[in-house]
Amino acid sequence: MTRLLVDDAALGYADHVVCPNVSVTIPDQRFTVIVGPNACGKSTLLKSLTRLLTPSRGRVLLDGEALHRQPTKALARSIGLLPQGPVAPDGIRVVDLVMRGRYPHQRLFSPWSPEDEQAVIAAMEATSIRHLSGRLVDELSGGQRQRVWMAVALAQQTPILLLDEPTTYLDLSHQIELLDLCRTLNRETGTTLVAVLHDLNQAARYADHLIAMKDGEVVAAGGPHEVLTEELVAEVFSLDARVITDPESGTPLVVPRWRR
Amino acid sequence: MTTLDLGRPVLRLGRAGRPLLLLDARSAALCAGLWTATVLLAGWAALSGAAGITPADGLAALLGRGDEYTTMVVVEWRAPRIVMAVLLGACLAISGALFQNLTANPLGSPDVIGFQTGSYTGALVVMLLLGGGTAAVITGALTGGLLTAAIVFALASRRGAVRGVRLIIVGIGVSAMLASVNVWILLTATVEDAIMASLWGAGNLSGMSWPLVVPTATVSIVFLVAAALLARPMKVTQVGIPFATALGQNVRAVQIAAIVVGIGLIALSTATVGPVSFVALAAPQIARRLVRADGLALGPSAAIGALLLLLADVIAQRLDPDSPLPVGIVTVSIGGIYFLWLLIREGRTR
Repeated sequence: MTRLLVDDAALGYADHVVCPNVSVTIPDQRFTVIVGPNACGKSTLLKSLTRLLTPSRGRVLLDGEALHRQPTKALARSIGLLPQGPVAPDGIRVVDLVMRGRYPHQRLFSPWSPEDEQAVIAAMEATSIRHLSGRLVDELSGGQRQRVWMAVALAQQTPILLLDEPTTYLDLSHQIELLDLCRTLNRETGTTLVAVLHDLNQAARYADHLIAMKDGEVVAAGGPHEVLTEELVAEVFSLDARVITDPESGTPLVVPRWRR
Repeated sequence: MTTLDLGRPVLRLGRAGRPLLLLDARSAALCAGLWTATVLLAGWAALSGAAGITPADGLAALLGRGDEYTTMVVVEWRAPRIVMAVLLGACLAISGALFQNLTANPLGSPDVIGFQTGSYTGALVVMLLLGGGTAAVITGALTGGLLTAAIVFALASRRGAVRGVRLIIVGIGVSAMLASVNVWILLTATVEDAIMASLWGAGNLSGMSWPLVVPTATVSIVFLVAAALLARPMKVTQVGIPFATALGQNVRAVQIAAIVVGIGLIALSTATVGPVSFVALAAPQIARRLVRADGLALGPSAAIGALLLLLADVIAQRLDPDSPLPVGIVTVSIGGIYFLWLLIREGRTR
């Protein structure tokens, strides 16, 4: 039994259901990646693992209890989220932004504690932004900024971390840097990671567990070698492609065929 | 164990290993300076004027050992007015800080979204159409302001969520309509009544007395404490609703609390002294420019608001001692100068 799972749920918004019927288990201490074409419901699925979206039918469970029934701050000490394209407040310094990540560990009257301080330092060191601590976020490059946001999520110190398209708007080297960071985090601290990624090859390379979605439904779930076959790429992405072995990582590599 | 580089001087209050509070040094110094200036200005306001009083006599009167005349002038006439200016200046500034933070827009202050115009409408209805004393006018102003706020929020919300810019635009629209209603009510009144009502409408601190100051101070302290407690949650809301929610915040509850406290503070000040504009709009902006802090900067905002309103009232009284101005006229004038300066400055940097 894994800690986090979606049990036969209907997910969506007030006016329309995106995923009428999904069941998903998130393996503990693994790096799970959700892939699928645009508007397939992958962000909706990720959001349902937080309080941002409550299922209209069925349940999303953490440790056997429905997510939206749990106290908000207690839940925030278990599950963290790096949302898509967050915007920093004007004139804020890196350190002040990272400190925001400690919110679920503080009470209304509780002071700033040494534990908070050590968590902020650890988060900044893990993301290699310690030297930027006193700088203004507005002055940083896109890659640095995304690492700052990652540090905010890390300062939250949750055993489960969700990432909604964390590599969007980053250039290739920063994408790899961020994914390497996620992999290290998962390997060293055993943090359960769930990410939505666009790039199939990156997904195959970094994921322990792949979830492929199409039209609001989970089409396949499992290890990258089982999931990422030529048939699945054709079915889910309507793409005629060869799947070969990545010479560097040994994971599946999707190479589209010439269209004839 | 290493410490954090905070990028600026920070005072760590409390035991060395377990500081209770991290206080921005610049912000603390600024607050100390501003409050010193406020106290000095208050002292000068209490002693100078038509009846000059020596510092020794003034102090004796405050301690209850002065002669009857000095006690009357300093304790009964001038002190309540000064206390009210300082208190309401702080209330207005914090109300502005809350609304600017909520709408994420420097123009999102309660006077822009129509609260004060609505209060004036309420007060005018009581003063000119229904007839009533001070208590009735306060009730009328409160009712008018709260109704206007409710209408503005109702018109600005879509699917239960209020967006900053929409709120401001709806507020300006409702405000303009109410302003014309106000003019119409004034035109139907006799000249004497219209002058009296206009004086209230300009925002006026004259005629303050302890029986009005004490309850106002009590209520304002409740709201000010609530605002201080909202400071940390609102800093988290600033990172955006998805992130704040993931950080365990009930964003909606925080926003509603901020709206209630923000409206409470502006309502308190408008009901007692009439619509004093510009302080709520500018004090938080001035504070942010001086401290360069993220978040609400409640301390510096309150200090600037208090000093600003007291200064405006002193200028209003002393400019022409024979015919003192309503304080609202001075704050509007200072506001105009501030905006010109802001435009020139922003024009240069772009």
